[in-house]
Amino acid sequence: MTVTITRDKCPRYLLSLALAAAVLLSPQGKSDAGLSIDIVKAPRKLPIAVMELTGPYGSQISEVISEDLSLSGLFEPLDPETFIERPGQKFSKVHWAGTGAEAVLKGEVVAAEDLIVRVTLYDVVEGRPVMAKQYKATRELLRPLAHAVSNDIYRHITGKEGIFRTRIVYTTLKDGQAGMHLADWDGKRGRELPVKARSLMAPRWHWSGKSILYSAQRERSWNIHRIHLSSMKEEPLIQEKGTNIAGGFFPEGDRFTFSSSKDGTPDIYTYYIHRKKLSKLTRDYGIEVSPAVSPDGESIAYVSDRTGSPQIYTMDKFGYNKDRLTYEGRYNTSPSWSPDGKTIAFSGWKEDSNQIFTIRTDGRGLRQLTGEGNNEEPSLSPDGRFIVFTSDREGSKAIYMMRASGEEQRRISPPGVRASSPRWSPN
Amino acid sequence: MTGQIMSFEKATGLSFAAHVVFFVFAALLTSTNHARDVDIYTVRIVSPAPPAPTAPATEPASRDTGPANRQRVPPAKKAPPKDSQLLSDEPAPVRVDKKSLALKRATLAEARHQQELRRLREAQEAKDQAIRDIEQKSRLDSIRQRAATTGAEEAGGRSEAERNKALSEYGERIQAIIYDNWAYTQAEENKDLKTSISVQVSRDGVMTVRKVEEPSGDRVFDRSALKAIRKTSKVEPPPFGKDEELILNFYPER
Repeated sequence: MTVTITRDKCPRYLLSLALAAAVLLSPQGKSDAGLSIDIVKAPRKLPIAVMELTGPYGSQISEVISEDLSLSGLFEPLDPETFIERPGQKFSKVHWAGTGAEAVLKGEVVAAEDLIVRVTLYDVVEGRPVMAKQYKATRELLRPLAHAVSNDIYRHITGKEGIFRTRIVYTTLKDGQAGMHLADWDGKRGRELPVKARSLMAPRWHWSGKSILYSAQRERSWNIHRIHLSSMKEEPLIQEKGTNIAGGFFPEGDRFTFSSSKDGTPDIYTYYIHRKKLSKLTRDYGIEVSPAVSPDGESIAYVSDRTGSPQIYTMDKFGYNKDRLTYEGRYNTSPSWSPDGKTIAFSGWKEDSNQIFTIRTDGRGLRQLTGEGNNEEPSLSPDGRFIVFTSDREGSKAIYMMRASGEEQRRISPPGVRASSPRWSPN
Repeated sequence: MTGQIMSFEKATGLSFAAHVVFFVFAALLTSTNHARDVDIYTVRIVSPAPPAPTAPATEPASRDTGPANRQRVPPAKKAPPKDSQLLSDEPAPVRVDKKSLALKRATLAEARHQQELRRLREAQEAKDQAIRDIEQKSRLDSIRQRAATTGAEEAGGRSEAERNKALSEYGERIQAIIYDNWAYTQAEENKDLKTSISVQVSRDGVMTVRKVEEPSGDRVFDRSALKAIRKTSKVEPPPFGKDEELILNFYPER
């Protein structure tokens, strides 16, 4: 007999029907196997105990790890006040049995010339260590070191790569001078890049994460440059007349898209860096701007007003097979691909304000994610679980982050800094 | 004269002594029970053997005609004392003439004939009763057999239904425990997964993994399901006092 029991999903009368059917259908009503039980449960935040690492800087490192795991939305770091086991004490699953913790992180910091951190992750159910690693970094890189620990915990427990070492670039405006900032994924450790201009727009990461493309207005022209993060040297790439706004790199890394009004109305172009070759993809009447290359490099999403109002379109990498994606709203701009290429986030005008939306690439599943203030320029995290965007909900423009579902929206750029055009690094 | 008086006194004494001796002798004679012993013995000799059919078949000794068996016959069923004397093989203590002796012998023969007839009737009745008993027993056995068969079938039906109900309720309780013990987090939402694991619950409630019947393809998801089982480890014993095999299917709620 096979009886299916489904918790929360199956009403009791259906269970009875299933049972009756199983009895009737089984040969001569005899049992031939055990019960088949369905357990349907939603994923939840995993309770984890991040113990304060022993040694110097131990508390700071533990704090960063705990924040990372909490912000990920997949973990629930437990209150250290509830811990029975002391940091220097040997791990025992008995100490954690009543806390609900699924995993426990313990470790030590040895501060010499560099920081040496040794951590061990224990599985409470198994009652044994499941991960043990050592990290080494200079003291200035304490936070990246802690993020690296978080990544390893995340990978071990979820099986996916963490985004705790990723970065977010955004433009700033202070005293009439535009600049560019680079921050960790959580908005902390912001540092200014040596890029100055009257105005800066559209920073776009190279797929390697080692350089950033951007548009800068210097004098009266908008040109496209690239800054190499290892050398912090700026490289001019597009210096055509008119307005040239960066689009995005193709995956192969030597080609990028941009929009240019060098021939009149803005159109979409591609540029081969090594060959220094331009290729025009659109020739339609009207404005074609904001090109975004899909993760597989086969498609380009862009904005066109060919039908009268700015809408999101897609075309192939050669400029053919154009399809209109959005029909709702009368002003949709700033498309950004999800890492799996199945969803596009964009900003759209709705009820006298700009809001963030997502839509599947088949044109279905339109969702509005924001509602407070003006929210624009979305960019998805490499794992597709988060979106950074610009919002003026608190007055001046600032950088905010939210889950891809629209939950847990919070500001990540420092106060007092006018910030916009955020872009999430690919790694 | 003194001699005569002495003689009288002597005669009186002798008379007294003679009377004493007489009475003592008489008393001794009356206190003996020899005659009654003879009577009992006499009855024993002529008493018919107990009818064989009435004797319990499980007691072979009852067929024995030995003395020990005979002594079991109760005296109340013996012939009356008058007849007892007639039936006695012992020489009668009274005088008997030939005529009356012939009469008595004829009476005895008739009595023996009647006794034999009675014995035969009783034997026949016992035989008939035995046949009736056998037939009755056969009918009862048949009825019992049918009743047992029908009862077993009915009882079997109820047992199956009860078994299913008990098993279903048991499964629900196991499901609730596993549900509570299952903790997993998922970085990739809306993923369609299913992990099927067969477990064995021993009669004392120890749950052990037998086999991952159907992995989901997501190693972390499978591991979380296995951990839920491992975390459960001990549950209430199965309802029928024997080991029970369960298939646990884990699904993410979407």
